[in-house]
Amino acid sequence: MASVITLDQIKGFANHFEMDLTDGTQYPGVVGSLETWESGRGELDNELVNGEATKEIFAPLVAAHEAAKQAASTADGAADGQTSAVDGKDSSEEEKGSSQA
Amino acid sequence: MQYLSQKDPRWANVRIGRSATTVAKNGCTLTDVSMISDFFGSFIDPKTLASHRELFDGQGRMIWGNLVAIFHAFRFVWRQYGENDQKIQASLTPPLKAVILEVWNKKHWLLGVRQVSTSRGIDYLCIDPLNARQCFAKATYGNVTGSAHFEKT
Repeated sequence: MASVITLDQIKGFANHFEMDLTDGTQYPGVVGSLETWESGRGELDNELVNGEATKEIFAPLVAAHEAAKQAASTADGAADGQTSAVDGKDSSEEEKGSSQA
Repeated sequence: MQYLSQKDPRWANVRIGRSATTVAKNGCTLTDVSMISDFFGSFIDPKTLASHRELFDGQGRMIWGNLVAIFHAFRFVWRQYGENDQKIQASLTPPLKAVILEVWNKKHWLLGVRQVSTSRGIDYLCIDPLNARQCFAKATYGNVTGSAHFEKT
């Protein structure tokens, strides 16, 4: 499926979080973050995706996010990486816990 | 260091330890540790790592303390519950240390790369094992709920 991520979204995300794109070092992280949202994972930033000036720009991404979430939950009850994320916390000795995600 | 995805077809459908779950579904932690092993020069891929039954409980959760039996180039140091920016920053000091971050209300783990300042304060540029791409931990997943720390031996 074609990506809905646009240059305006990349700029909007960077502007919202005050990330500087001029030297290129932050760019892959910004795009990767948007890709995560697009795939239905993570938590959409409400102020960004529903902001007065940015709502229209991010509408396709929000739609893709919700559709992907719905598809994942329909497929196997939980999106990849979201299942059984219980951490094996040992209350007496933190460093001996176990983990999964 | 290689960027690895838990969904890579070479290991996506491999079961984790004795559990019924797979690397694609619940292998974010072990994929992070696999990347760390490459970072410290003793690479073990996620498929091989998942086959180490002693490293996981019956639900496929990694048993931190058992990493010492597999890796000699680095060791697990500490599991932190809650966000501790000071400890995370102290572990973002290659080539001697590495840290993975628990995010998304304890649902996922990312490999930390470096600390960044954003409009919301401190955030962390990370590698996401779900897609082997960079992302910003808190901007993308909303929060950091813990961390696990490693150091070169």
